[in-house]
Amino acid sequence: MKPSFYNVFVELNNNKKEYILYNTLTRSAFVVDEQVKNILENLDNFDINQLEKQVSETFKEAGIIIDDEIDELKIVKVEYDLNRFKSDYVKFVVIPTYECNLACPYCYVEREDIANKKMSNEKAEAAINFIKNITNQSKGNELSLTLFGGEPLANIDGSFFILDSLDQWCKEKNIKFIVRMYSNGTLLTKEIADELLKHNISFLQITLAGPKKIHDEKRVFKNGEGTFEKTIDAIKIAINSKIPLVIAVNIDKDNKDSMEELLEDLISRGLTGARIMFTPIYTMPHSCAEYEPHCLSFEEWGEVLPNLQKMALDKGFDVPLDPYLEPFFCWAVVKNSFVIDPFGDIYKCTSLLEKKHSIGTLENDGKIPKFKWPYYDLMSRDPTSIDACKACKYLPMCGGGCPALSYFLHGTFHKQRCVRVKPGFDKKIKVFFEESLTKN
Amino acid sequence: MKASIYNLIIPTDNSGEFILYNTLKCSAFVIDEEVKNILENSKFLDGNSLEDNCFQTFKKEGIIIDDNIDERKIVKVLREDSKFHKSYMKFVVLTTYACNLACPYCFEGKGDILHKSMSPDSTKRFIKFVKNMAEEYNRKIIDVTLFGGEPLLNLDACFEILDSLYNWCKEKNIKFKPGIITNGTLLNQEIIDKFVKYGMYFIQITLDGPKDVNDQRRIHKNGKGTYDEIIKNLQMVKKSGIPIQLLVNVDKSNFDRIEELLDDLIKKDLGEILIPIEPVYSVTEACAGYTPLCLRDVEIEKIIPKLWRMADKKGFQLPLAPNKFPLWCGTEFRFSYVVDSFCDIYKCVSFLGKKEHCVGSINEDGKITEIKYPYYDLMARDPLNMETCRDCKLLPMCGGGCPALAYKNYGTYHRESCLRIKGLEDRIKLYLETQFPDKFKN
Repeated sequence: MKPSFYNVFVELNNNKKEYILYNTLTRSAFVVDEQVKNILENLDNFDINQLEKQVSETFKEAGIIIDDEIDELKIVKVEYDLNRFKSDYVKFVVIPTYECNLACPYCYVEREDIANKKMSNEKAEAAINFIKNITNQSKGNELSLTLFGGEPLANIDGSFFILDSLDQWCKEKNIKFIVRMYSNGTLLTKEIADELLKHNISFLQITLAGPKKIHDEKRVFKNGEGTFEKTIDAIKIAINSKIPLVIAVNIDKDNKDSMEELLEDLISRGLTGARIMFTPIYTMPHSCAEYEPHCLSFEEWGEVLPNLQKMALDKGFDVPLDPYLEPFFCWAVVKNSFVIDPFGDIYKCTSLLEKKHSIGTLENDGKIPKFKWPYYDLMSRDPTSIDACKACKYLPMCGGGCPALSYFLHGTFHKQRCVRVKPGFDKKIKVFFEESLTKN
Repeated sequence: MKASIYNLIIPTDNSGEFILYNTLKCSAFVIDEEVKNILENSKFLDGNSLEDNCFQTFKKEGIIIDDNIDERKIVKVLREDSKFHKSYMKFVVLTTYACNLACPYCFEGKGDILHKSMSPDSTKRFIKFVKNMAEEYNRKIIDVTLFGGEPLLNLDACFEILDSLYNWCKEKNIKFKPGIITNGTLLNQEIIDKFVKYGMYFIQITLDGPKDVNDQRRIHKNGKGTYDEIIKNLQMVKKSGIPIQLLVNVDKSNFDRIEELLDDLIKKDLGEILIPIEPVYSVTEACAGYTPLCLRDVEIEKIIPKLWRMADKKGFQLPLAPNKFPLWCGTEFRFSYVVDSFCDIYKCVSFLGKKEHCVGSINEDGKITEIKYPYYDLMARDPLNMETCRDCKLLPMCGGGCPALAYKNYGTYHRESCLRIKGLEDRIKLYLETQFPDKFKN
């Protein structure tokens, strides 16, 4: 037997020299003392007999120690490909319009070539048929639709046309329909919220960019007026309508130290307990590159995030921590996951909305087109063939990171780009375990 | 633009005329010497290099492609997609390891190493397993092949499986596609009638030559030959309408006698059947002793395509169509299972009974207990990481060759094994000739 390559040790702050032992492949976790840690870290001369019989049996069961002939990288590869290709689910992001009533400086679609393009009825119908065809072909029993923008509510007719059609079709076909929407919130009304709820919306994300003063500089109407109050109204509407809401808080260098102020303000407005997710602002060379000096590096982000999470948790907010402990899922490399834009172009990722990354164009009847080279280029991404990833303990959870950001940095999808898992892992996992221990 | 790395250019019998076959796109053309030279030698192709409609057609059919395309990545994606696709599900079940014959090249050791038969309890477990899998993955077709040893030595298990799955599929409106691989000696009218009732999809039986040759190698334990009984049973099967696959195993000792077998089959009213003619390989230790009699690669290349051509001329059907996806065989599909009489699961029949290849077992609830490491090891096989395969023109139809043979030769699944690739160009040529006879007037 030998210790798994994917054992990670994180020291607890209890002055007892105790460690969280976490296996990134099997996701099993233990608290161990220094002696056990030393035994497991002695890869060259590991001696199973140094562990108590009961401990070694438990460790075997949990994949902490494994048979000598096992090459865990192969397990990572098979699970990675299985999850990408098994096609049990289909996921579509539809952009009903690139138009937006705001003018945030870090917007990822603020580009002249696509500005204000609205999806025509014809294209919406083609998109619906395409979605049906892919769903039929995959024989899945779950269809996930995400409305994205621009601001999806800036094309409210288009958004609801797509929602209505697919909702009805899924009911006929006995397929589970899952609806998500990303909105700036400023156009949300009680009526729209009720309508969304009728379609079983399971996730609505509305974004804040800091306390009122900062938010109103970053998230502004076209005339420069701030949107904070409008956004808070929308959050209240959503919560009152019982829509599953997530408040995304965009973080950069400018606002990272002002979060306490924001959270206190939310509490004073009666929003204690709301679900909050902190997300980093990053830029793309083809749209918001000039915003880059404001952004945190992913290493900095990894350090900032756990502190923010901890603070929000302590103040009684609902902070989803699990994404960091779930298998990392980049939907861009999942077979049946597509992004459809208002021009009717098909993409694999919302960060890659450039013609050169398009994998095809909608046909009028929604027939599945032959996918173009970028589909294969992206789908052939294999982190188990990337040297840096092969040597990384976080690979099973990270999957090589973000292919789009790899492209922006290296000009290829086939390089590592550590984004969400490795930076700040120790801190994040401690927050996670402290939280789950207090909950239980 | 540039030429695809998967263009295969094969000379025809007419001078200056070639078959151009793209192994990735499965597209085929007849071309002349000039086009051949352009495709082989031009570093850069544009509308001026070739006549316009030829250029456009080649572009559409993947013969020439954009410069930035790395086709190996396409192969990689198609391969993983095929492997993990849930629409392929296939079960092979060993009703027994025992056999009534003693063929010298048997890869399972003639039923002498292991001879366990499936118990009624194990049979029920297997049936439950098939049903569970079909329900979980919403299958519209169930594909089960009875295998052994000699499967008909355990008739109870065979008919329990057929009867129970046939009725269940009928009830669930699922198509049931049973098959059987048998030595053919134990067939009788009663069994065949039942097979017809259950919709038997194919019967594979083996003959290795005319009577005197066959009766040296397809023999009973006491040495008695099987030719006459098999011919009689083949005729019975043919009358029943169940499709026959008559496998002919070729090696040094019988390759020059195959014509006599074919002629005798025609005489006995068994012409026109499907007749896979394949070289004998030693894939396990059990048959390692037979290796000296196996054809060497260069011999395979010379001999086997000639036999195919001969069988084709005599009116037999041959499985010549090239692979349309980059996998060697069904083994690498996610849901391809070989279940033995202990209810242990393997990925390939040549791994049977060897614990180091066992990927799991079926428990009392008809579920896989735990997926064991050999499953991951095999499924992680990636010929794009193998030097020999990486730049091979045949990769899109070969997928790196037989993983079992790779294991036997190198002790790992992660090596190439260029089986049957010998003669592959001839196979494609013959296939195209049979498909498009008017294009090859010779």
